[in-house]
Order: sequence, then C-alpha cells, then structure tokens
Amino acid sequence: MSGMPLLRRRKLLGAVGCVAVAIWSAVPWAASRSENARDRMVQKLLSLLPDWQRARQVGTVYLQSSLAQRAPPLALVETVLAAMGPNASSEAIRRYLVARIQQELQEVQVVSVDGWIMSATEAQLCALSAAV
Amino acid sequence: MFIDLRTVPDGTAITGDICVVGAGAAGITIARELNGSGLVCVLLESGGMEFDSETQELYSGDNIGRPFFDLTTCRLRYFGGTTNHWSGWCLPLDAIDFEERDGLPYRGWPFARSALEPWYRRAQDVCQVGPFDYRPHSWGVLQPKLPVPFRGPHFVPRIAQLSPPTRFGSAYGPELRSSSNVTVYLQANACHFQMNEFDNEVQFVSVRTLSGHGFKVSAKKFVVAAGGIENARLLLVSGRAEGQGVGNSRDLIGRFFMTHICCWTGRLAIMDPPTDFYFDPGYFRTYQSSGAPRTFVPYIGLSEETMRRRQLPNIKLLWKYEVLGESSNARPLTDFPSIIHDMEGRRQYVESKVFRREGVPVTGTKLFLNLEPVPNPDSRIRLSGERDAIGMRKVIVDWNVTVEDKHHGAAVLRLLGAEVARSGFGRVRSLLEDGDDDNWPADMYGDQHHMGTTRMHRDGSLSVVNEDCRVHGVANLYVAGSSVFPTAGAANPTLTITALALRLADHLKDEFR
Repeated sequence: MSGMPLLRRRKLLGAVGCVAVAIWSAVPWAASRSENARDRMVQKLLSLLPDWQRARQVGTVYLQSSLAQRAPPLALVETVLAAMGPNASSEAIRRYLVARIQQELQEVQVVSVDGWIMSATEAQLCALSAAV
Repeated sequence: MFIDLRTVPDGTAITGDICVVGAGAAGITIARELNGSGLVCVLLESGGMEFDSETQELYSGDNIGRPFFDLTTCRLRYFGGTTNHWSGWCLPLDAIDFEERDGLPYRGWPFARSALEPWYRRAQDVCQVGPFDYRPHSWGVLQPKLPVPFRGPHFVPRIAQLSPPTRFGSAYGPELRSSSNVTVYLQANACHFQMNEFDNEVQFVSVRTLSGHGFKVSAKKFVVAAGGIENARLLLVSGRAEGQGVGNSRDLIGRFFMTHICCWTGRLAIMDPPTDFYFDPGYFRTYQSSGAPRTFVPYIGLSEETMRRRQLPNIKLLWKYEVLGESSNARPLTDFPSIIHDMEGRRQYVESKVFRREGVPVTGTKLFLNLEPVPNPDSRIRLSGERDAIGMRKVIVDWNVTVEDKHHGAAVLRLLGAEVARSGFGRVRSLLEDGDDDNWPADMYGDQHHMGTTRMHRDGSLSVVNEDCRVHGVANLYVAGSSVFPTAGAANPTLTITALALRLADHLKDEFR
C-alpha cells in the first residue's frame, strides 16, 4: 500500500501482536516488496467496509479479546493474498470475501464479539479496521 | 361422589380397588377413565374445591440449589391441581425426545412416541384442543411467509395449541360428583404408604386431615399422581424405614429433577426498518379452517436433523418485539449493517416488506430460550428434617443445571446467529458467550414443569418405574405425572401427562380384567 503511512502500519503491527511481527520479519530480503503488497491488500480490504466507524467498534473489542491472538487480523490479509494474489481487483476480493463469509456462516465457523455472532472473517476484517 | 374427609369419623376404614393420590390433570384423568368401569376408585385430594392457604402451605420447603420458585406458589393444592392456573399450552413431545442419543446422557424412554400416539390423540379431547395435528402449515404458518432463517434447515416453525385452558376441576368435577364408583375425598392428605413385610406391596396409604383426623385407605392398586415434586416426596417418606423410600433401592427417587431452562438469551437485531411481520413466535394467534376458530401459538424449534447432527437438545425459541425508541441490550455495539457491501440476502427483506407488527416498526426482538435440560442425577429432591402441619417431612429442592446445558444454549445461539447473518435477516447478540460455564444471565430460571423425579427409562437400573409406570419392586404401586419423564423435551408437559394417565388407566383396567 504505497499511500499507507509507516506509522499506521506499525500501529497495525503493534495491535496484532508478535505472531504477525514474526511473519512480517521472517524474510527480510523480500520484506519491502511483500510489505507493499500487503499494504495494498489492507487498503483494498478496508475499502470494502461500508461503515468504518461501526466496524472499528467491533474490531476494537475483537483486538481486546483472546480472539486477536488466535486469529490476528493480519492473518486474513495473508489468506486473501494467498488466495487472490496481490493484483486482484477490489470487486474480486469482495466476491471472495462474501463467499468465504457465507461459507463460514454455513458451517457455523463463527466468533462472538461482545456477544455479537459473526463469521470469523467478518470479525477479522473489523479488527483490521481497528488496528490501522 | 365428593366427601369432605373432615366430616368422616376419625379412623374410618376406606377401601377401594384403586386409590389415586392427587386430583390434578393426571389423577382426574385416571378417575374419569375408571368412572363407570365397575372398579371402586378412591381419589384423594389434599385440598378442597378452592384455594386455601393453610393447605397450600403443605407444599413449603427449602431450596438449596439454583434460585427457584417459592414452592407454595408454583403449584396449586386443591381439586384440579395446578391446572387451576395452567396457561393451556398443549403440544406432544417429539419422537426424538423419546430416543437414546449420542452425546446426550441418561436419555431414552422405554417406548417410542408412536407407542403413545393413540393416547395423545385422546388427550387432545381431554385438554379441549383441536385435532392431533401440530404441523405449522395446518395452522396457516406457511413457509414462504417466514423469514429465511426459520425455513430450515436448522430452525423451523413449530406450533403449540392452546387449551381454553381446561380447568380439570371445574370441567370434570361434575361427572365425578355423579359417579357411582368414583369417590373423591377432599381435605385428604396422603402421607405414607405402608408396605407389607416383604416390601413389595403397598398395604394401605395413611391419610390425615389438617383437622387432625387419621385414616387408612386400602386398595388393590395405588397410583401416586401428586405432582413432579410431591410424587417423589411421598415415595421417599414411605416404606418401613422413613426416608429410605419405596422402590428406592437404587437411590433414584428424587434424582434427575428437571425443569426447562428459561432465560432471555440475547437479541436479534433486524437488518432493515421493519414494515410487516407474519411470524410471531410466542404471540397468540387464531386460525380457522373449519368449525370454530382455534387459538395456537407459533414458536421456533430446531429441526430433528439438526438436533441429531449437532447433538443438541430440544428447544423452544420465542421473542418479544422491541419497537423503535425502546431501549435494548445492544450496547456497546449498536446495530450494524453488513460488514461487507451488498451482502446477498439483504435486499429481499426490503422488497418483500415483511416486517411490521400491527403497524409499528420494530427494530429487533429479545430472544427467549426455553432449553431442554440434560438429565442430571445431582439435581434432586430430598427430604428435610423439618415437618409440615400434618407431620410429613418437607422437601428440599436442589435444582441444578450442568455445564453441558450452558454449552447447548450457547451453541443454539451461535447457530441462530450464523443463520440470521447468512440470510441477511439481521444479527444476533448472545448473552451466553461469557466463557463461564456456570454463569447464566441473571434472569435464568427453571420453569414450573417439574419432571424426572420418578423416571422411567429403557435401562431398568436408571429408572424408578417401568414402562407401565409401576414402581420397580412393588407389585401394586404406580406413578402418574411428569415425574416419570426421563427427558423433558421442549414441550409443555400437560398433554403428555394426560396421555400417560389415559394409558395408565387403560393398563389398570386391563389388570383387573
């Protein structure tokens, strides 16, 4: 994400914990290029949120819970990158996420954020918005 | 014939072929079935024809388990029993409720529901409800009009029929009053079954009045039909050694005490401003196909396949509407729309305009869960050292629920949350996701359906009575009422109590042939 300030990325890293830090720093020679890809993917993912403020509310609670350790929001970024590649369009990513969320709901792969029941991916997406 | 036992000379011997203890739904049903049979039936009722606080106080006892109703308020001790304040919900247990099931312990009736259906059909008339047809579409609850999450495969509409409600005392008292072979003794408190020297047959039941008279009622067969708690109490205080109990060699009497677990478990936030609503779980409705309109109430249940596949117990899910401006428990996360733009499913609710309750827009519903409990041997009725006004030991209620019950409740809400979100209908906030297995919402309670304390079961070693409701090891003692239920299902018990009473009456008549 070329336009994403470093500070915001650091904030994101800090929020999602050491697991994500380890992933990001494991391959230093490729870090710059992959960071750009991840930053772009983060931006695309966040652009899908229709209501940033409410997503952040959800995400803030998520990040304060044990869910953040078990399923950090950056893991979602990695998953989408792996599935769609770095150059996928926002629309393609939206379709992928909708299908993924529907699948999770179908299989009751849900989490509870302050009691609200939502798919794991939805919750991670909200957490991403709160982390940046 | 009705006789006030206080008018009978102290010590008068009373005899009959069959003595029934308790004139509630079960006892009155059995007595009616014996009316005209030629068998001499003695029906003992602790109270009179109306509420009396001194008699009612005989129910008093202690509670040492989870918070529970005051025992003097949740049942009624006069002719007609607790049907005198019955709300009238009628529905049979489901076939799955009778089965042994993987992952759910202590389950299994000794017969299938199909074996009980002939008596269920007859019980419909006794309870003054419609035909034995509980299919929602037969009551105008049509799938296409339902919100998607409740068209299956997990959550499905169910209905209960509503009795007027039948007050068994006033409805059926006159025919017993004119009976030539049934005698109803009022103010007759059964307080002890005297066994023979081999402990395998009841000789007589000791009866006392609050005025101090004492009697012995002898009969060839005895039926205890005094309610889910009192049945256990009477068996426990009986026998040659007080407290040892009759038919209690396995220490099962009083154990497995169950009620449905009830609480407001969360909230369903509806995605779009509602405009019309055709499905009102928990709200009384009337339906007329032919004849007089009949009242029923829809509710939400789990499909049998989902119960089986997910190893979940039965449920009844109801809701209460929240209208715009009403405070809700949705904070701190207020209602939120789709996480992703244009989640499929949302549009249909806007277009079909299916949300409005009597013209008032609603924003969501509070969810009321009525959960079938896991049969639990540590939830039990015991005897207290304290005695009541007729000298009978009082009860101690030790009602408990299990960790599995909490897991089941939470799992149901998660499943509902997934279904509601998947369809775009809305979002569910669960109050059962606190991570503490012992903690329930503060308003959780056990309802007034007292079950399980003299259970039947496929495995004789897990039961107090056999499939004929006869107490193991006692040749002439039977139990009627919900205390014989080995599982609770989600159904209100009166229809099943009545069906089992009809079945027992048929069995008793056969025994005398």
